[in-house]
Amino acid sequence: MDEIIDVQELGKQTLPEQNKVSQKQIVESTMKQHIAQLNLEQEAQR
Amino acid sequence: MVPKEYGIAYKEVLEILKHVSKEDVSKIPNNMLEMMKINASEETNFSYDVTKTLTEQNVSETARVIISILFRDYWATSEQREKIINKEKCAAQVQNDASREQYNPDNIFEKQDSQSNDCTQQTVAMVEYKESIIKRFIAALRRLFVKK
Repeated sequence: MDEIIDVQELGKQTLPEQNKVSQKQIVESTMKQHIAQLNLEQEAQR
Repeated sequence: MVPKEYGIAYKEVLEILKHVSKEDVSKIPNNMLEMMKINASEETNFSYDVTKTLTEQNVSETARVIISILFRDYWATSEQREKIINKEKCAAQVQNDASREQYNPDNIFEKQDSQSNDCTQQTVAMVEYKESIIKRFIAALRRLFVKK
């Protein structure tokens, strides 16, 4: 079985990124675009 | 097709999520997981080692940012989330202040203030004018009654 890592530990490790607010906003909005794009593609296939 | 940077990041995040408890993974919306699975780079070979930190394993910055977003939105306690959001608000405020300084809108506000003062003065003047008409009307009525 794969070793499990606690999400709190991951949270600690990404603290520096947590402070990069503008970068987080860019990544977040890009991911939303990718989700929207996927939704559109799935809608078109139906 | 997503940019290569994101394809790599999605692959890394999914590999990391293999080492996160099912309970915590289930907190992430399905459409987000599905999107990452579909867009993850197949050319990237990455195996996550739980004994090393993300930085030690050269996990891409975009993947680390995604993990930080997942932590904020789905794994943090309400107290932790509140702190993170407050920090974000402060950072946004600092950014706004910097932009404000750059474009120096104080001058614009000064102009707006003087314009609004002008508007206020105009309003006051109109009110005074109306009052004087009323006063004149009352005075005229009084004169009529006094004569009778």
